[in-house]
Amino acid sequence: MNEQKKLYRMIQQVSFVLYETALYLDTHPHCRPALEYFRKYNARLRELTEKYESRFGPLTMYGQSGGCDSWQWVETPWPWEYDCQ
Amino acid sequence: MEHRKDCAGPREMLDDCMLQRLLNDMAEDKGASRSGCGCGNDRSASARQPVRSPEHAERNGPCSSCGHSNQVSSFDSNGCGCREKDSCRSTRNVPQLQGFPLSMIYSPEQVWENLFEPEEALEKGTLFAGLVFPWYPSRCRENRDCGCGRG
Repeated sequence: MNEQKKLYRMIQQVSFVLYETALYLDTHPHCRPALEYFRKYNARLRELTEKYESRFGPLTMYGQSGGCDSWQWVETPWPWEYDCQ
Repeated sequence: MEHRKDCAGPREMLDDCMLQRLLNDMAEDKGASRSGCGCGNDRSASARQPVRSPEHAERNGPCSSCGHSNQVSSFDSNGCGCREKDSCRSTRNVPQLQGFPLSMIYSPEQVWENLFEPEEALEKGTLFAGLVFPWYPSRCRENRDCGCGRG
């Protein structure tokens, strides 16, 4: 698996556990371990997303790099343009 | 919208009257209260009567066996109307479910424990090991010629 796919897979994994934690917190809003877990992985997601987007372009339209002078969102591959693996 | 801080479990939601009635029913001799009036006669008709809610107690006529009014207890002893005392699986016979109102759904509360690492969580489809419920289809019970491949 290349570097881009590895990073993308980690982003998927961290996003997933964040979603699971958010659903748990909806019914357990004062659970401290869950809140701490969410804080930790939320920070991790930001790091991973920044790392990915700086090298491979935006993951969402909000990921447009400040320093770029063209609209990257349409210039990076569309989903059907990626290689299957 | 005001946030409720008084969320209660099922036991806390029982009011004192309801709880006392349930406890009385459990303490009574099961055979004696089958007719609902305490006369002790196990008439098949009365034993199979559906459980009556307290509001309907006044509508019950007197017990055909002893003539007593049916207002003493509007629940029969097992809470299910069946006469099979030993094999009955009414919740009243299950110690941990005694005191819980009938016909309600109860779900054990989830706790923050037994978490997978993110990689395994995504593979398993849940962060919580306690929520993994694999389904194993059973063997086909038809004869081997049914063609389903699970014989």
